[in-house]
Amino acid sequence: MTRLELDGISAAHGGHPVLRGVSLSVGSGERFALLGASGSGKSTLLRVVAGLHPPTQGDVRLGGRSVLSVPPEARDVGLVFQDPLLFPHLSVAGNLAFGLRQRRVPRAETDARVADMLARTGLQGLGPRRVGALSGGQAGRAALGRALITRPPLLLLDEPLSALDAPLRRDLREWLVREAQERGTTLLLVTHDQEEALATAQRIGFLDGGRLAQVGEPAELYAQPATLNAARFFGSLNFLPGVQDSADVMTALGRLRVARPGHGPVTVTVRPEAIRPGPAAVNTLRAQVRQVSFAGAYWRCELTVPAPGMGGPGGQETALVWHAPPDAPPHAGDTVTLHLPPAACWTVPEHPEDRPGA
Amino acid sequence: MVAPALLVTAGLFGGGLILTVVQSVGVDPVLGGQKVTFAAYRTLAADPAVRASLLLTLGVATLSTGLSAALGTALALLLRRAGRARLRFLAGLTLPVPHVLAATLVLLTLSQSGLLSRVTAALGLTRGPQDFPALLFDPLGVGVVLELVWKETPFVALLVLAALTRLDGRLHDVARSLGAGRAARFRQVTWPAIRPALLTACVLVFAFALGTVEVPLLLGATSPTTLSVLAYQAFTDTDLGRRPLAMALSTVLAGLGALLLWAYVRTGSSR
Repeated sequence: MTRLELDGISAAHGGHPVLRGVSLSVGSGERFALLGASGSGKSTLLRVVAGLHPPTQGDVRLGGRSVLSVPPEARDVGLVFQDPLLFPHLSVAGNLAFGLRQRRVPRAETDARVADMLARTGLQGLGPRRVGALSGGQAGRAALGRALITRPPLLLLDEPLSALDAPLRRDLREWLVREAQERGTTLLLVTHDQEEALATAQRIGFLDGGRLAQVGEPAELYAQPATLNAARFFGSLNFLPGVQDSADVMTALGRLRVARPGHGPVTVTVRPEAIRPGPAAVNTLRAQVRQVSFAGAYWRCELTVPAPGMGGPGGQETALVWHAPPDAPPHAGDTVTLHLPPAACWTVPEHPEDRPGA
Repeated sequence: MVAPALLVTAGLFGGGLILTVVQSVGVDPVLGGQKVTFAAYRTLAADPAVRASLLLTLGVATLSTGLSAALGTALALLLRRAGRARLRFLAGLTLPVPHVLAATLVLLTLSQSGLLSRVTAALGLTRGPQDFPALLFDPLGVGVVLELVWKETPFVALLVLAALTRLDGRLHDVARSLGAGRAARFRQVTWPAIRPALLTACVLVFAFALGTVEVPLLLGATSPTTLSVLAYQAFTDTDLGRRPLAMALSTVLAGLGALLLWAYVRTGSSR
């Protein structure tokens, strides 16, 4: 239960900058997920917080106090990796007791807490087992239990359990969230898996090329991405470059009413599930269905909109992807009338991620 | 599939061992011995030189094993940290050097008229060869131990390094995050990982130190000398009557080796 503050953290790997001025504040007891593609610097950020990687610049504060001079073993920050990384020469109970032994917790209390954790992790009776004899799920729970047993105020998770099957992972995640809530543990999770981030975290940060491109609630990052990369990462598939004049953007489709007013070159991004069938007062277009494929919860339709799609001085053909509702799927070759609700037409400034310091 | 090869090995090795034991109890048709007698063993037990030799042999083997283990482990940890392939190559350079050659090098360097002695004399630290400490041919086997440590330290380091390389570095990160300091991490993460390799290395070094003839022959004192040298001398003696003595000494050495093997297997299975 502690507040984590990162203040302008930069870090390098062998002279290569990996993190560039990351500032972030995670509240006490909050569950925060850092998302990003591999190589975005997320694991390094976690190692900086744990004290395992020195930043070249910036400050890390826990509960308001700078911990840069505190070695990892004294930071009281739990750390769980993708692999369980149990100590192979110790039993399951020995692994759970490891942190307590370092803290010189009396034997009787250690035994009691280990027994309690064995029960909580569903590993009753497996205490004396060699860790090599555990299944993947059991090893994952043992790893989480080992990190939680010392009651660290902050728990860092680096793609935890992503080596496990989906159902196992879900169970373990739910368990972890419950335990963290019960103890008021602050969670900082690093992952490239959106589902994992959404299911675990209250807020999400998007890390892109070592910079924190956006921080917000999950719905915000989905609907209102700050950068093109964020939009792509969170599943937008339609990108229409154009020039904005007040509430409208001139695109290859024609004049498009968008969510927020502005001026200058922008890219309009529309999530495929936000496109609606039928006409509307604005942003109505007729498109040809090229290909339809079933994707479970929706039909994925690849469309082409002939130029000019909505009247006015359009350019060439435009390709769009639409997730049609499952009840009445169109067929390839059909011509459909659709509209793009202005609220779903989100504008992103031209390549803001290329600007230094963005 | 491996049976034929095994048969040859077992035949040569086992046969030799059986012949050694048989000859040690005086049975040797060629020399005319027909009856089993433990005279050779009684002679050995009564000889104070043999007792001194046994002590020296065990002392030299223990000391050189201990020093090689300590230095080899330290070297491996150092190399692991440096991580340079070139350094590892340099460290392993003494491995292919034959012990005879290594012993000769030690002789040329450390004897009272050797290189080091001349350097110290030239620097005015010693007045001449008589001043330089008698590291070689000494009754305590210092020269022998030095040669063995020089040769075996990189060997130990190589085995330990292999074990260290297999150890996932993130285990150290996890241990740190759980509050383990440097000493605790060595004790609880590194040590358990290298222990089996180190034990194997120690057994091999000890067994070699027990049996080596050339090193104590070149660098050791004439008396006391190690059991293997005694056995060699008795075996090559023109007096064929001493042959059972040589075989009895060899049997004792083989017994010590077997004891070592038994202890090793026992610790191995209790792990």
